Amino acid sequence: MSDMKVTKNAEEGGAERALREGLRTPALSPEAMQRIRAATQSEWRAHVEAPAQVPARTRRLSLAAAASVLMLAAAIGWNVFTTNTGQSGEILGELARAETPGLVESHYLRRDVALAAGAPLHAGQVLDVRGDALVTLDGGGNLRVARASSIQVLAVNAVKLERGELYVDIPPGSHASARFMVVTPAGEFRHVGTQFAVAIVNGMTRLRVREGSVQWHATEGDSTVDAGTEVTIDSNRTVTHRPITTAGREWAWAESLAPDIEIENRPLQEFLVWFSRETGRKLVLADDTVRNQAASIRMHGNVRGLTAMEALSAVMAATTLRFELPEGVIRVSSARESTTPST
Amino acid sequence: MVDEQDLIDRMRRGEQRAFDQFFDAFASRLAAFAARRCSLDAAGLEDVVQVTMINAMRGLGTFRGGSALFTWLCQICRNHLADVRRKADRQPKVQSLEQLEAAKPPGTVVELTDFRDPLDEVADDSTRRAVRHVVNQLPTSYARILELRFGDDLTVPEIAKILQLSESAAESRLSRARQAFRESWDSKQAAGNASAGQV
Repeated sequence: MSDMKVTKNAEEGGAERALREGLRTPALSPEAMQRIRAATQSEWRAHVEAPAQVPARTRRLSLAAAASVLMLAAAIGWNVFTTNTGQSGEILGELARAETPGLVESHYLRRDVALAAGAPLHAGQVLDVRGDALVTLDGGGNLRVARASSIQVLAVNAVKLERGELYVDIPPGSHASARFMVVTPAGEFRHVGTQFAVAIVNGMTRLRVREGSVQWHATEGDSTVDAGTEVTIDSNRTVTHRPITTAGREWAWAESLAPDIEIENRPLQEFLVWFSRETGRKLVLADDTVRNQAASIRMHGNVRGLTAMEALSAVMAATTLRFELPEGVIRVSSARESTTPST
Repeated sequence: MVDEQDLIDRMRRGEQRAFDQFFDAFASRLAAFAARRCSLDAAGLEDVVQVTMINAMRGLGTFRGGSALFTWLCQICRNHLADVRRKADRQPKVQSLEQLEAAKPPGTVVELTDFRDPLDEVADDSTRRAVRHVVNQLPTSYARILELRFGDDLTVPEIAKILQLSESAAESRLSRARQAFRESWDSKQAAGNASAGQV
């Protein structure tokens, strides 16, 4: 368009350059746009397929005939759904909380149902995750699912990730969640006392192990992936490994979904271990004195609704100890001690 | 250009290709529109765009074609941004919105539900902030057309379609808007230089 070229040349004065600079905005990442697309598409599908969208020509049926058909359909439907519903499946866990617009159970031939906090998750359910969600696992630990994900509950200890991203947190000692696994097109990922994240992005499966290790079972064979490692498997089943940090921004979404910790009358050390796991930082207690204090100090109050970092600040402010956060570490020391020489 | 009413009708019928066309045409532009009106980080901005698009899907049945589709999306986005700011007023712990509030008294939040929705002046560098401030002082019609041209990098025919003007009218308005901005900008620069020269 030649007239546009002329205009553009004329525009390139100082004022126009400032306009371009001042009004441009950084674009959202392709992954962010992909998540928005998935969530929007899911909502669109839910609305265009809802019964309210039935074409007007169906109204040609007489009211009496329509009523008869509806009653018959309802009777058949009731029988079908009371026998086939996933509600009778084993319970994986309970929806602890979800951000708006929440978690929706997809149904074949009937309306989707939004789940409320406290709702049990049964084997057989297909869940459309429209807002970040936290699920507490019955066997111990929790599952955090990013919005725009879709999961299917396969069994009491297995979920299938259809799209999106989820984070599995099963603390050591949660024996009942032993052998918990995530099923993906790239194979099955089974926890071994672990925190790990699995994502499906643009047809590629990505595993990030934060703590412990994960057994990866695929058609090509089994392997173990250790903490601090990312594995990606593309649609051609090309596998790439790379080291990753266990603390940092890429874990922020999972940290924001951390379950609340009850601190009332609990030892400080328990809180510090929780913080260490939630943020992927190694806990370092400076010496035996600090170790003894951490074990003996009992906390009072609550940190509900606070982020891990806010909770740490609140709790530590009530003690005589101090903390530092060098990369990948939380170091707790006596208030008298300083890592930098004083004059 | 896409026939917007036809696009919406096809989406209502559940045509996947129509949805893809809709998303590809509007999502990025909507993100840019929202980004110019809030100081949220990338995650916050993603939330705003996602909620706007979801609300649009819920309201597909209400779109009557009286305005351009993107204008309709922008209105949904404005309303959501106003909600976000009202919530931020009740939860002042959100740092980015605290900064926003410091720069704009709470009363201006109400303006966001009107057609006049100023650009966010809490930009991360002084040039961006100054440009947005000058644009906000211009008549609404000028601010809007400058945003479309320089922010969204649209051509004059595209702008004409969005603003429901003839191409010549859009070209003419753009020219006047550029001139108005240039005058304000230059006088602001001159004032800045003069004050910098005073000791």
